[in-house]
Parts: sequence; structure tokens; C-alpha cells
Amino acid sequence: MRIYVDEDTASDQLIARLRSAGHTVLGPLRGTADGRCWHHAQTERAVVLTTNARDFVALAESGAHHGLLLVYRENDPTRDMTAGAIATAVDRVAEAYPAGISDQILALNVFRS
Amino acid sequence: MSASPSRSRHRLFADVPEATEAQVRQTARTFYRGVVSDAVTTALETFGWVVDARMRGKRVIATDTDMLPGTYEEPLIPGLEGVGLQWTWLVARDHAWRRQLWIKGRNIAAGDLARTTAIEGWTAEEAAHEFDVPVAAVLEAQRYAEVARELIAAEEAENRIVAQRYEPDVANLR
Repeated sequence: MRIYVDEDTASDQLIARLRSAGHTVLGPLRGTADGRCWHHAQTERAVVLTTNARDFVALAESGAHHGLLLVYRENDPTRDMTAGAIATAVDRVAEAYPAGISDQILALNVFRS
Repeated sequence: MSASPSRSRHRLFADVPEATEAQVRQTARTFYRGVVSDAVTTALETFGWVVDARMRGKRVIATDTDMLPGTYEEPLIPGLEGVGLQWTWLVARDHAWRRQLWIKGRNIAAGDLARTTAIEGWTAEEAAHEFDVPVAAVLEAQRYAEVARELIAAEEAENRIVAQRYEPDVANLR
């Protein structure tokens, strides 16, 4: 997958895990408004990975896009997803959707092991 | 304005919702060493200041420090002298629905940074390295996450509600 990792999610560890799994990862545009990040990701034909569901869903619903992956906090330390869990879930999405996830919005939490 | 009590003390009873009682007691614990009367008195005096300003044709607003005009009135609220002034690395931002503070110069909400640090079990130094922010910014975010716990949880819940609309039936995908 070609993935734009949003700044609120882009720890070095997550980016490294995604890259080592074979994904192409675009680093975040720092300090940049969500709308510009979204536009950048679409220009780069990348899936957006973020915890900011509300703002990015609104952007995704405004037109065609290359996919949006959402991670939500479960308010439960035993269930909240670590970088490792997020990377594993992204792999599962890539397996489940071999043709890509264009125009789809998916919550990653259900793909956790 | 001050919360200096009058010499004679009177007991006042009020029937309030449980949440209001909790809020009053939390405010007293946080700012007035648990003294409920000081919390209530100060809250009422602050309300009085707002009413007085409105009666004089003034508007009571919140604005960023760098937007303040040359002359203005500001209430001195006992117990809150330093509140809001202690953040170096956290800033307020005009956002459509989020009210929590953000890491200065970055598009990372303070609560998100603190939450990720906790989920991963990172030290402040490790989190600072992971997100390339100063250690002091992580420490402030963690401190802020404690005092704004309910606000942060509410904003996480808003994101969760939206995200859960997009949970596919994974069983049918395999």
C-alpha cells in the first residue's frame, strides 16, 4: 500500500514498521492543516492513515479518494492499538483488499489480531 | 475582586444534580484545597463580574494573548492566577469542534500525544524522539491530559463514534 500517515499518528516506530512490511510510507506534512494534507495525499495517490476520524471522514466524503484508514481510541488501555498492532492491521487490510481501497473508509480496529 | 468571606458564615443547602455536585467538589479540590465555599463564592463572583461587564455594555470574550487590544479589563480570580499561563509548548487553536490544546507548531493534539505515549508505554524522552518534539512538550502534554481528561475523552469519543460507522464485517472478508 501507498500510505500517507497523518501527523498525529506518525511515530517513527509506526513508519518503520509499515516500511519494513513493504508499504510505501509518505511522512506527514508537519504543522499543516488537514485539508492540505488530504489534498497532498490524493495528489500522491496515497491511502490516508489517521486517528482524526471526524475531520478526515468529512474530507473523504467530499469526493473520490484513494482510501482512508481510521484508528480510534477505545478508552481501554488493554485494547488501544499500539504501532505494532496498527501495522499488523494495515497488512490485513492489504490482504483483504488486493485491489486497493479507493473510495473506501475503513476502521482499522476491527482488523486487529 | 476577591473571595474574602464575610465574618458571619451561613449554611446554604441546594438540591443539584449529581454531576453538578461532582463538578463543584472537583473545582474545590483542584483550585481551593477542597474548600467548597471558596469555590462557590469565587464562581459566583466571577459570574457577577460577567454580569457587571454586560450591564456596562461590554462583551466578555476569550481571545489569544497576541490578539489582546491595548486596553482591556481582566478579572483577578483567586485560585486561578497562574492557570492558562503555564503552557510553553501547548497552544489553543481555532478548530471546528476540538477544544483541547495542541503542540505548538505541529498538527498534533496534546491529548493524542499523551494517549499514544501511554498506549506505547513510552517515557517522555522516547515519545519526544518518536514524534520529534521537545521532551518538555511531551511532559506538558501529559500534565495537560491529566487536567483536561474529560475533554480529551469526549473528543476521542467523537472520533470513535465516527470511525465505528466504517467497521466492515471482517468475517465476510476472509
